[in-house]
Amino acid sequence: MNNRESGFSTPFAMTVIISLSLLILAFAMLIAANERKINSYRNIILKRKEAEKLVKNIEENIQTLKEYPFDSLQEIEIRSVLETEAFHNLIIKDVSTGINKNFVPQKLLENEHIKKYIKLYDEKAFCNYGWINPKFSDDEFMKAIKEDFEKENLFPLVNSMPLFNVYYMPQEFIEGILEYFKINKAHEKSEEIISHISEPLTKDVLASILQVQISNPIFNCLGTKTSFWKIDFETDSYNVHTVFAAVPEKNDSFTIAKYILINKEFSYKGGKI
Amino acid sequence: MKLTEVIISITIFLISVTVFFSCLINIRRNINTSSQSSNSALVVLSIDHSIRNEISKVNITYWKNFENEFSSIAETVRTRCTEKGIEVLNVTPIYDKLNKSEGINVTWSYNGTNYDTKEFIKQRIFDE
Repeated sequence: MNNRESGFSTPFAMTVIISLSLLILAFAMLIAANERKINSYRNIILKRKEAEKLVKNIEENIQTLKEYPFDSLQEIEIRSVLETEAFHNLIIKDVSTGINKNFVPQKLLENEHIKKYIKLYDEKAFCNYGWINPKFSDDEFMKAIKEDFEKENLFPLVNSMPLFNVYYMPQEFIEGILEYFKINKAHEKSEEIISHISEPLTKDVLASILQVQISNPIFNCLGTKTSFWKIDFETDSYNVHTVFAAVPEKNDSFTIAKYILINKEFSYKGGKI
Repeated sequence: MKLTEVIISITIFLISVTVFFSCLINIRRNINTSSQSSNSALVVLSIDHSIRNEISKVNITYWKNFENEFSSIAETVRTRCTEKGIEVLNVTPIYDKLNKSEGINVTWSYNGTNYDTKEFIKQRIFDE
């Protein structure tokens, strides 16, 4: 027999080679499938970290809003502060200008004009966020909060920052608040405030329109800064919902000391893992 | 063929078969171990993912005391995880180093090994 015809390919050897090949192939496919899934989970964790980093960046950038004396309806300046990253579907919303179901004093809900406002706006009249103003809350509620936290000083949760941003108040709500604080000609004055809404409204301008002193208790409610902002955005893999709160200076409730992150939620958009 | 050659051939064949099957058994054992480890890693990751999903559904309002609310939250998380077949050993509160964030730590067990899943869910309102 010449060399070209020599070799080792008995049926036994072929069977062995094919069996081993099948075994290794099955194992490799299993490992590859598991590897893909493990990479998916790793990817989810990485994407989450990226979304967390974006939230951190928003927290840094939003501090610039401290310099703005009023948060008007023109959100362009707010967006320009925040849109330094490639957010998708960025939504910015004032979530503290409204009747806070948790903190609202009972007397306010019994006011006829406020009832009219609530009837007109239904659920939109209410909000879920806000600071607790001790001059605008029931004593029983204040006592309960102090007991819950077991401390007397509850700053910044309890502070004197004006509760509502006049730029985001409907005219009926402004009128209701003016009526509650027994301001004369509430309807006309609320209309006048609305007519000035595209202009800078300071505390002095508001006092002049309402014909009251700057120390009037109404300025516990009426202000020009939003205390809680809801900022939602999307990344490739996550829907992110955040809420930032403006913390006033301890001795000047009309000046913002800093913005803090109150709430953050990350919901994975889903997809095959 | 001579008798000695036949005996040698048979011996070589038997040795080859023995070596082959030993290798085969060894390979299969290694494959089983590797695939079990790989499956185990996948299960651990998926359980961790599920627990984080359950924690993300927890909502603690910013004006409530986290410590006081924690026991009901822990019970909810434990129940939801147990319903998914996760063996939860303990649910405890956690705080970051700067004491600015509050969260939940879920200690769970799989295949005799304990794992921790930590997730921060709330910012502290008060400066400490």
